[in-house]
Amino acid sequence: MKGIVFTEFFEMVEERFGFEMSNQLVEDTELKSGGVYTAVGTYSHHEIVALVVKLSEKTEIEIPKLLNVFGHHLFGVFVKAYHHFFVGVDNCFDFFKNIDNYIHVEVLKLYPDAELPKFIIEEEAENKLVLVYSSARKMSDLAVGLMEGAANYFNETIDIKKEMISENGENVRFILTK
Amino acid sequence: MHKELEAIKKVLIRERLARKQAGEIIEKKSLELYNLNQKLLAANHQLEEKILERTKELQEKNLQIKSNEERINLAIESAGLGVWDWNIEKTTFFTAKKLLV
Repeated sequence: MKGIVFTEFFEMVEERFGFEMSNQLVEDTELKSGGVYTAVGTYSHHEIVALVVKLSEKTEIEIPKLLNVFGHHLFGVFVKAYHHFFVGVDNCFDFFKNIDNYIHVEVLKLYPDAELPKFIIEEEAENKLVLVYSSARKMSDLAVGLMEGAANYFNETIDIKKEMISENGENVRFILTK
Repeated sequence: MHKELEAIKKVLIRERLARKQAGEIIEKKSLELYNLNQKLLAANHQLEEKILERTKELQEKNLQIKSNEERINLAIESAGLGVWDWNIEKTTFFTAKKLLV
């Protein structure tokens, strides 16, 4: 998993819960990397899962909620760091359509080893978009947070319905309506 | 406060290690790019040389064809002959001026 996910996770933890929490999290979680992350590196996705699970234990906030808040945070970072992906896009549906066929193509040029989720468009209309999320990382709650962040960015209100395609959470259908 | 300071120190140590790790990753990537660039330059050079070689070959062949043509024309003219060629597929017809008279 891309390093930026880890560095931003810790930034969010430090902002919201402080440095003590951030340090405790690393000390109490078994991490191959030792909790040392850089945005240009790639690390096992098991580590982010372990960190989120531990943060949930410590803060008593449910994992889906934490992932959702993290999604919102991460989207804010993406807007600042990768502004060029937003040029000429004025609504979130168009942005979501760009994820697989443009944004992830560009990401892979820089990071050929990146493991990226797939967002396949199943159905599209003016006020409706059906996306199928597929990722072995099973982080559809993070994807929801990111999509909500995108809708906020474009000043839109969308309703997101989740349908589990596979029980393990690797394949999820999102039905988005405006 | 003391506990927070301790935590910040540990976070800082990890940040420093991360910075070093980032430096190493970027250096490694830079080196990879440099080596790839060198390979591309060498390949480019090779291609240019090949083009020069081929161009020279073509020029020589063209000269050969021209002098052959001259020789044939001379032979035909001095023998007082005329030639024609009809390509049925392409529907083109070639003939020596002499035959048109």
